[in-house]
Amino acid sequence: MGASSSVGASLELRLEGISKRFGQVVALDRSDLTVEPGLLLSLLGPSGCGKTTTLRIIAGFESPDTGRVVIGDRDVGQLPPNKRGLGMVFQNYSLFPHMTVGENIAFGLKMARVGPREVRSRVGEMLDLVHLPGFEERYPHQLSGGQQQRVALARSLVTRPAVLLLDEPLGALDKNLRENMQFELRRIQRTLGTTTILVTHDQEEALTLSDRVVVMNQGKILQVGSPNDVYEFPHTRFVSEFLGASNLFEGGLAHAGDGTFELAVTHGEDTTVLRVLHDDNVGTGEAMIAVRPEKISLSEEAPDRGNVVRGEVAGHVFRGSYHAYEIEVAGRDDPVFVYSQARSRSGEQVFQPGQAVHMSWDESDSVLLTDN
Amino acid sequence: MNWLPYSVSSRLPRLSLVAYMVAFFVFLLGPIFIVVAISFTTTEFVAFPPKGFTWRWYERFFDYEPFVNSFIVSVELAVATALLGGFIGIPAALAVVRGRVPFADSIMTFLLSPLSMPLIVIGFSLLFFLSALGLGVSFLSLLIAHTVISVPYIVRTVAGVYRSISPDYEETAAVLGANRIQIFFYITLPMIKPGIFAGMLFAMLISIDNLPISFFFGSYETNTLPVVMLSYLEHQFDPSVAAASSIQLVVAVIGLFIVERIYGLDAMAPAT
Ligand SMILES: Nc1ncnc2c1ncn2[C@@H]1O[C@H](COP(=O)(O)OP(=O)(O)OP(=O)(O)O)[C@@H](O)[C@H]1O
Ligand SMILES: [Mg+2]
Repeated sequence: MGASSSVGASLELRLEGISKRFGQVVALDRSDLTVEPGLLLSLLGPSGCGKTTTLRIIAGFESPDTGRVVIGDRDVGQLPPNKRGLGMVFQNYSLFPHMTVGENIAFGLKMARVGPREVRSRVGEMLDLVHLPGFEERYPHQLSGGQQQRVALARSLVTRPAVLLLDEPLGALDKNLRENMQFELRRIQRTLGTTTILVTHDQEEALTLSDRVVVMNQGKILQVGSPNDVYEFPHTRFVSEFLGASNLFEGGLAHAGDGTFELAVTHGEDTTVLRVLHDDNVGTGEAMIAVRPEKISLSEEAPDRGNVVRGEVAGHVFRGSYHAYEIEVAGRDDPVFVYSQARSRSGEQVFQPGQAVHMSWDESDSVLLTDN
Repeated sequence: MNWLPYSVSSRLPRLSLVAYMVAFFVFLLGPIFIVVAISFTTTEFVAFPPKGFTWRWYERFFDYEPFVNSFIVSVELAVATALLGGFIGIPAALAVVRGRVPFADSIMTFLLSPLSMPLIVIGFSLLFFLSALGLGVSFLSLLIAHTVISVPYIVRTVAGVYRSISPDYEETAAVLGANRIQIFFYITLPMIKPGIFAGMLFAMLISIDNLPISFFFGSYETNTLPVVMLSYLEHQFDPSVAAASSIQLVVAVIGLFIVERIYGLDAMAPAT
């Protein structure tokens, strides 16, 4: 017994060249995507970028204008939604209000003509897995938001779907519950090993929950990678800024040999040379690099290594675990954001507004934005 | 001079509401109350205030064959109208709300159009039309005519309820493996049941109450209670008509009470 008997065969999901238009709106533009078996991939992007459309195409509620949806090695394009063997949870859970929790979870099994005894044991198993044992007889309206969420998850997983689709499943929960459920969701997904696509527009959620993050904008997939990859090595300005605060420096790029490039940034009269590592041989010309605020150190004295930019503290707030500074650089429009970890209470230097400082970071801590 | 606009704006609506309530009681509930009271009078003629108390006019109602026959016709017709109306109206409502039907809004307007047509025109033209089809004055003609005017009520309540239900439920069921028929019976139908029930009850009330259309299709076998009551009144004026009215009233009140309990009358208001 136990949850292990609920493990379905996890399959790979592949989207090949999917496009979808609604009238003039291009909801998806020739998108390719692969989710390896058993992984949790999140689709991250601003409102209207095509996340839900992607899920609906996978589920079979919309048919793509071009491209194929492949689950395992089967093209499911011609199958109606009820024949695709998927699980799906909508943002508002859509638990059937006229059915008990037990009947809700049993629904998919009943459709598959599973016998009553097995239904009962599998429903019980799923309720154990989502930590709601003995809730069979309750009605959805008698549950809290978090409990409804768990029941919806149980209902979608009890049929051992090949792929689980989650459209902002935590969007309706308040912050605390949400963080709790993130861990729960991750635990359950790991336990069952179900290939999962999670739609979210919360970058923190995407980074904490996923094996793979897909950043989308305006119907296009901009970047796919591990949470660390897309956070640390964004390819585009959009990805860099969407995943968190990011400082951008623009200037003329020159090759400095051996995977190193130099960006000549002009701030008023001064020109500062910033070094950045990059493997591919990109051309020279105007380019942009991005540096995360927590990668930058502040000091009074100019450090003797790394990239250094001089500025003046314009603002400072203490945010509990770190100090956030706004540094003004003469000749630059936007301030540079710097987050410095709050360390032991002694020995910590806090900079005051008006103070002249040097910002510095290692050349491996900035990233060259290649395709803009 | 601040108080003037303030007090006018706050008092005027309240005053007109009071006036409306008074008019409602005087002109609607008042006559109804009088009719019910009259039905118990011991006099041979309609008298108000009633004298004494008797069930005699109710006995007369049940003794007088045309009343009883037409009452049975009315009830049968109401039930048949609700069923046929439901059979036509429910799928239409579902299709208009969620089917990928072109011009869904126009179709909806069209389906509801009998609401805004004078009943007498519908009755008159249907009599001609159905006679031309060879149906003439018959229960079937009556049923068709009543269904025509009742379907909008069913479409309206069912569509209203269905529209308020997120498509997510049906889509969830589909992903869980339910086909269209299973989705309809396991998910859609239970969720729109209050709307169906209310719509069909309303159709029954509309049918029981109808005079202008039933009038055209009257014959010995197809006279409905309102038609018989009207012709009875042409010759006699004894309180048994008041008793007949009270019986009809009780039927209507029970119907409305049930609708209110399962559906809420507010939702019906725009339909009347
Ligand atoms: N059925 C439809 N008819 C017309 N346009 C649609 C339809 N569905 C989606 N769109 C459009 O396609 C684009 C992508 O929509 P989609 O719902 O996929 O966005 P999303 O990324 O899920 O956004 P959100 O985060 O707000 O849920 C939007 O511009 C939307 O207006
Ligand atoms: Mg969406």
